Amino acid sequence: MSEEPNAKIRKITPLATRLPRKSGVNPNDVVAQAQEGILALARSKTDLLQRNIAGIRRAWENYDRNPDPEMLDRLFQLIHNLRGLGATFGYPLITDVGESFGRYMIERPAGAKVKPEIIKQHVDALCSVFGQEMKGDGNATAQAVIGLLRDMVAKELGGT
Amino acid sequence: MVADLSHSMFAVESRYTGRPHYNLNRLKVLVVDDCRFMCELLDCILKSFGIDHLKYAGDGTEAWPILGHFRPDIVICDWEMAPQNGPEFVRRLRHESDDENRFAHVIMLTAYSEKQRVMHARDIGVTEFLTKPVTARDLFSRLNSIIENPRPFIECPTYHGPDRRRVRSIAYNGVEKRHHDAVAV
Repeated sequence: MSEEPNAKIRKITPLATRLPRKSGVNPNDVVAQAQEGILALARSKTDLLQRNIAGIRRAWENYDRNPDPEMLDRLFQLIHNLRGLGATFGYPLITDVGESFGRYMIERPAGAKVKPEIIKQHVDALCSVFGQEMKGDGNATAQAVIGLLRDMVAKELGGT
Repeated sequence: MVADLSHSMFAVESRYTGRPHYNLNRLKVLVVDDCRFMCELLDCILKSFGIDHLKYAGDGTEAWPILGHFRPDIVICDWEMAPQNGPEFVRRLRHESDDENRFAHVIMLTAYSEKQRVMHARDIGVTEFLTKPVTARDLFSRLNSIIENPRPFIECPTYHGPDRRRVRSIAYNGVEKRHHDAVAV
């Protein structure tokens, strides 16, 4: 970072100075309670996950029929959103697949054509993970599929 | 009892033992995210932490008028939103808002995890970067960091935001390179 002779430095008064302390409260319990809340909320919204997966399948089918950049962008947004929610619903593999897809879409060289087969494999993986209820780390097959997706993307990006 | 700890990422660490727990009731938090479920999730987590002063906006454009009257201490902001996305909103917050809002602590909460994104977020003045899926533990950790150890705020022609250096070397014996003394905010 270049030096800036006109830089002003403002010391920030910590929020801690105006927040009273709570005695007798174990922060671990607070965090645990919040996590229980997350799990309960996710359990009550499994239909949301189902709708998202169905939406991704439809978006892929639409793109496959008509490879329009806007459709591709829509598909990316749907998978990107799901990437951020997968583990919350107990499906970290969905987050892993989403991450692989995101990497392919973001890091592919400018001007490089999108390969529909790569997208399809990611969409199929998402649908399989949810359809077969592969929660947690899944089984060896699931891990192998994730590995294959990552290797395929890495190869496509030039081995990086 | 925690219902399900099969996820390692949900394991609660014991590092908080002995640290003071703050009553977060006075904190004001603005959540900027276009995903309704994410807003519900954050509402659940933040209220579990004892934070009741919460406002929500679907994107930066919607958040802007809320800043004026709500004056949040902390902004939790997504990246991908429309019409104004997270980075555009943060840039505007750091450069165009009034004095008090300019210093709000910003947690960028996004599914992006690529290094370039993290660096970009840092360079536009984000205080903390957190990747989705969000866990209560990680969010609590970031909030504690902001509450207890805020970094000084730097203002110069090319950057407005918290000091991008997280570690200050106490072994540095050289000349102080900034010409102005720190001003308390």
